[in-house]
Amino acid sequence: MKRGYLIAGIAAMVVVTILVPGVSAGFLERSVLPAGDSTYRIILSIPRETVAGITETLPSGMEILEVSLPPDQYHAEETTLYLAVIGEREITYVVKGPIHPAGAIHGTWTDYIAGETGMVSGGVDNTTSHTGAPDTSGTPRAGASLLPVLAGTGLVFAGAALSRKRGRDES
Amino acid sequence: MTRHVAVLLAAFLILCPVVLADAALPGDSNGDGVIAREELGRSLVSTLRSGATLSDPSVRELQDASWVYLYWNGTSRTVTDSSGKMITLTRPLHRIIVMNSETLETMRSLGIGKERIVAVDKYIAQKPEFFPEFAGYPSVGSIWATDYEKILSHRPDALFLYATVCKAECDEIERRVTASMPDVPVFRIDCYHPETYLDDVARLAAIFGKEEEGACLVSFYRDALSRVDTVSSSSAPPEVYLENWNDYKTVARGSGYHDKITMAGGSNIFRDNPAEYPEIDPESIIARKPDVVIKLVGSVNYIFGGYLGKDSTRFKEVRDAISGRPGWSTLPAVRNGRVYVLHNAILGGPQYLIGVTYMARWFHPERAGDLDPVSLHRAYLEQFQRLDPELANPDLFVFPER
Repeated sequence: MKRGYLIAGIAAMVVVTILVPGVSAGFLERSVLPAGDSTYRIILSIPRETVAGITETLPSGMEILEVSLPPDQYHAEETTLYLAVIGEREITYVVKGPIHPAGAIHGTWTDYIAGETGMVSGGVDNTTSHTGAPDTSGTPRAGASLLPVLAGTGLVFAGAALSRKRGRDES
Repeated sequence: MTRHVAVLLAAFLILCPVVLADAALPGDSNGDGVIAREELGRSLVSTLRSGATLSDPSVRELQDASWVYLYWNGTSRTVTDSSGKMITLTRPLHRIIVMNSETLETMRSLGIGKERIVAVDKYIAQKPEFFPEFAGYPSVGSIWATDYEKILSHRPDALFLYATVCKAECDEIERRVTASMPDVPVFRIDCYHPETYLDDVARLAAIFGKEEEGACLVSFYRDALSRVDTVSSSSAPPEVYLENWNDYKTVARGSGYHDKITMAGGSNIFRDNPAEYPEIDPESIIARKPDVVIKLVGSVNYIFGGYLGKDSTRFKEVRDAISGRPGWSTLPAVRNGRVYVLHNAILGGPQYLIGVTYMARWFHPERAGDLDPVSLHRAYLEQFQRLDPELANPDLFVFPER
């Protein structure tokens, strides 16, 4: 049994190692800033000048109030937001609604120059480099990327197996 | 009247740039010849909403439009090749065939990857020491024995050939390829002549949207050649005899090698010969008393060293043999130990700046303190060719080093 836990933990970590490079999660990052009155400013940072498409899926009940792009470069459809990146290094949009703790924002991107796709990473507040000094204490956690989730799962499995093994050895 | 019309038509055909048959700009929905930001934005949003993925053929069109917008400001790109022919491109090239190793080397310097190249000349495929990524790559034969069926089978979207070297053969390849595939542009680019090399770099950079990389490469060459110029212009030029891999075959004005001797601050003793690559009478060398002799190796009976990395001892053997030629003991070059062996890999093609730097050091040893051809060679391989800088071992390219 304990061997089974160990194997499961190791297997989970191996899966993380294999899957994560294909996800290319590091390309595009999302930050979420509270903007008061249940509104949030979402900032998407693009590390290079490129042409890309982003699809953001918001939790139900959220409303999109504002997008920093020209009208031809985005389309909002209920809780799905389509964004066309044409050289921009940062795109922001403002949403209103119960983002926390009801759900997360999930995003995918396609870089049409590099021919790559991936998931938008981030969502946990990392706003210190932005102006406005937002209140980070109530920062919503949205759009957790696949990497920490899978890595955490693997570590939990491994930790559980190890502690169970120790417990049995001591008894 | 009819004659006037014919003349006008002929003038139009000559002056009108060659435009690819697939001339419509991708993503130019209103057909005004410009991909506007709004047009691209709408196409992107529409594609996202449709859920189409990168593997969808319609997305390839969007990718091309995106590329043209980003690298060509949303318009077609007209490039004049080394032969003076104007070619207008409306989309990026994805499936090129390169039959000129100097152009391929320059493409690598610009970061143009193998993924855009579907086939190469057979000699490129046989140089794994310098083009490891093309070892065993699909080949279309050579300039002299071209496999036209293979060219067609690769469905290229462009072909790259020499402009001035092997001109008759390359003209024939261009004629036959154009007859079979009129939509496929044939670029004639040399990428070996020092006088036009930096222009060729700019042409390739424009074609592939690599202007930044091109500027970086041009700057590297200008810096290196400026250091050479400082040394070479500082004192009287020595009289130089340069012999290629064929014994007693030299160079004259009009050849790239003559220009390289001059750049390095030497005076070519056969500069005024009417032929660019004359075979000369051995007695005439003795009569002209060269101060410096340079023997080029790397071809015909002198295949050793260079990137092959073999037989470094042969450099000394060749030097000793040349110095021992009948009657040569009286030459200033031999008496003063100024006979040098130089591998053509660092003089004949895009790497000429390395060979020229070695030559400038040999021609002006008293003023060449700042010249460091080994470091230059290493930097070129590492920064631009993405190759192991250890390949720049001077024992395999020159003898003696100083």
